[in-house]
Amino acid sequence: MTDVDQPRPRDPRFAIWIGVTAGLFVLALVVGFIWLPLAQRGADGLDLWSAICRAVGLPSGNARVSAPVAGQPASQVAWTTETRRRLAQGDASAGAAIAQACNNCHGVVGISADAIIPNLAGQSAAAIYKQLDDYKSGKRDPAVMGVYVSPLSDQNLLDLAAHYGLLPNPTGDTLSTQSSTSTVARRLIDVGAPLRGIAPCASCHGPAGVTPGAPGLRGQQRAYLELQMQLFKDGTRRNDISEQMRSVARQLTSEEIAMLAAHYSSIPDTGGR
Amino acid sequence: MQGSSRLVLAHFWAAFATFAVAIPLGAWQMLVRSPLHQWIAPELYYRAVTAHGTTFAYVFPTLIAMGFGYAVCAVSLGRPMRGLSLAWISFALVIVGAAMALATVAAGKANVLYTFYPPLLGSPYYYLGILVAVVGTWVWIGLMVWHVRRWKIDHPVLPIPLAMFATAVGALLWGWTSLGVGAEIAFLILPNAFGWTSTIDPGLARVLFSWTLHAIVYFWLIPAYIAFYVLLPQAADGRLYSDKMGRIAFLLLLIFSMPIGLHHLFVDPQIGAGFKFLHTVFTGMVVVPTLLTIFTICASLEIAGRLRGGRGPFGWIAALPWDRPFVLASGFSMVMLGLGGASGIINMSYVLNSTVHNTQWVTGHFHLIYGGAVVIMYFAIAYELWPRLTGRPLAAPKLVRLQLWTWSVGMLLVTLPWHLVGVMGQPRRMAYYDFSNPALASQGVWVTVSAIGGFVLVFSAALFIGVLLASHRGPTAAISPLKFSLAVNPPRRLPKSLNSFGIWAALVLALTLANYGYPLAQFAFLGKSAVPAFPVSQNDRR
Repeated sequence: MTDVDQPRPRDPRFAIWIGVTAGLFVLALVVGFIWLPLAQRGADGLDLWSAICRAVGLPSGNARVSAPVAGQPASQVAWTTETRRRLAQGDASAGAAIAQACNNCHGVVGISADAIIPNLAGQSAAAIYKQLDDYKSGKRDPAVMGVYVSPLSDQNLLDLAAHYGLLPNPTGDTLSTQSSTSTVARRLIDVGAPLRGIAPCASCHGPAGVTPGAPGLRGQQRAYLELQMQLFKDGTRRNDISEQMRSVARQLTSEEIAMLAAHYSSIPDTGGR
Repeated sequence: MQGSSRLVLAHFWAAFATFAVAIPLGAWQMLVRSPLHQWIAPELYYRAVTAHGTTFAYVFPTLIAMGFGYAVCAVSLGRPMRGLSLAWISFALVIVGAAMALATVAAGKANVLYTFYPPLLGSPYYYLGILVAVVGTWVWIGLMVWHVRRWKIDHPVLPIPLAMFATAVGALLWGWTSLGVGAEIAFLILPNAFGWTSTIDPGLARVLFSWTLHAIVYFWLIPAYIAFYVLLPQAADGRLYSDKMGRIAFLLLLIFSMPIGLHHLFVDPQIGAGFKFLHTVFTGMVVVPTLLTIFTICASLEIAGRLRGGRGPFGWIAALPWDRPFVLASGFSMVMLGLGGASGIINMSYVLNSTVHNTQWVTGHFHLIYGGAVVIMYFAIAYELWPRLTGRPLAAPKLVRLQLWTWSVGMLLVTLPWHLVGVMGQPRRMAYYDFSNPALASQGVWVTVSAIGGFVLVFSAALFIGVLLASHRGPTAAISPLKFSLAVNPPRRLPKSLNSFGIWAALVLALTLANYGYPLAQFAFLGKSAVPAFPVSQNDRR
């Protein structure tokens, strides 16, 4: 202790501590940026530079990338900032004029009279735009819709989406728990079926079937919902980006699909149907 | 207290006033999502969580650290503080900022939780309030650093008193780490909240927040550590085992608690795995000062126990004066620090973290460390300071002991079940759980236990406020002035490395650049990661 108590012009501790810290830093760099990325599974044939780039988080030229996926993307629409910006430029009044051609089937206020034809009122504008674009590009079966959509410009689609997005959804936006129906449907919606790899419907579509970022389901036509889930299930419909709906629907039984369609179409009861 | 009593008392009472509001909120949140209660509207739940978190992250511990800092500054340097008017201005800024932020939350305009991760976006006044409060604390930092400098100029060869040395470390640490959240609010969130920018980069915002998020915990912890070193040995009739060990521990905290924040972003895709590993290594280093502290404090207590006649390998523990609030609180604090530290080591492991990430385990961990080990030392500090601030002895010593017991038992009842249900997979930040589901039913009983623990804490908090209030009314008496513990070998002179900050501050700067430089700079060229914000206030929602 006595030597410590003597004042010294220079204190060697600085050099020792800073040296130890710097040594630790260099060691962590070597392990974290060279050794670990090279030792990881799937790193065979990775050169030093690519290993470092991988640890830094940069894609690099000769890193092993899985072979390009054959085929086409599920949709031409990507949810980029640019897409969001264009969505905001939709003109609802122009869309209302174009919608004259849609009213025969989808109803004057966006509520269809036929259970196999979907309601559009209050649907998220992003969802409507994507489906229209998918019909136009053939990503979704254009057998019926193609003839209506093909003459429309991209701006027309944005206008239509804005128009239907603004029409009031007669079922409203309030959370209701009264509707249900089967506990099977309720469980699939809230919990999913983890053992079958089915995520809860609510995790994307919201506990009440309405949430930003996913198509709204509440009050949708029952037969339409059931048919679409069946089409996803057998792979006929394939315009879901990342296959999320196909992955879920493939695991659902036809009975469960029917119960889910019944649940979503009847929350809450609109009285008129 | 060298003319600073009113200042210190104002900080402590302001802190405890926010505490008295936020504790019942916490208990209520636990109740409404337990099996004991019906589900409530999630909006209300998140509003309450935001108020609870904002109070306990930015307001309560900040005021305690500031008030205790002023007390330490006046007592340890042995002369009246200068710049008292600046200190009051700083106090006012913190209060105004906190009031602004909390009023915005209370109005339902900022249900963004205290971490306010973009693209969630609340009212600009919430962020502005936090920014004003943070700027207020910078005045305090300036005052602490200035007093140390002035004292060193007057006493060039004497060691800076340990208590003041540690307070300056806390101030420097907070100054450097608060820049992260300050920059996030000033340059990313506020421009977006006021509508000047159309998009916000959540990745960049999260990296900036992580700059603050870990070291802020050490800023909360430092007053508790100071109390361990400079108040506890004396309260137990002993001496501090090593003054130098204390300095080393505080310097290590300064150096290592900041450049490690990316361990909060282990599942974030915008950070390369190499940087996550780098931060894990340095997070491991932050365990060292805590182990040094536990060793030094146990050694100091052993000295005290043996001086009081304790014998044998464990007899000294029984010989300690456990009836004294400070010793009792410190004992509880050590137990909770040990348990919480162990769960923390699990959190910092890249691999183990993936099993507990975003579960109630994490909530259990930080409530045990902070709400338990740290806050109980805030109580002990208040009990120690109160007679010196009011000139009256502490009221009802029995109730004080009951308060410390109930706080510890309550906190363990709250947090141990949280750890357990976290491992069972219960996610955190949920407004309700469906315990009628067979898969979750087994968690219900533990959630109920922890909700009961919450009300034990409310009882304890009420007791605490009651004792402090009653202590203002008692008869005045001669109270011995506050003194800090003597070391076994009090240092007469210290090497420059243990008595100055300049080079260590430079090391912190260098480590920050090395560990945060690229993860921040990458956003300048990666691009395309900004998104439109998502307003969460009640009225902005479609």
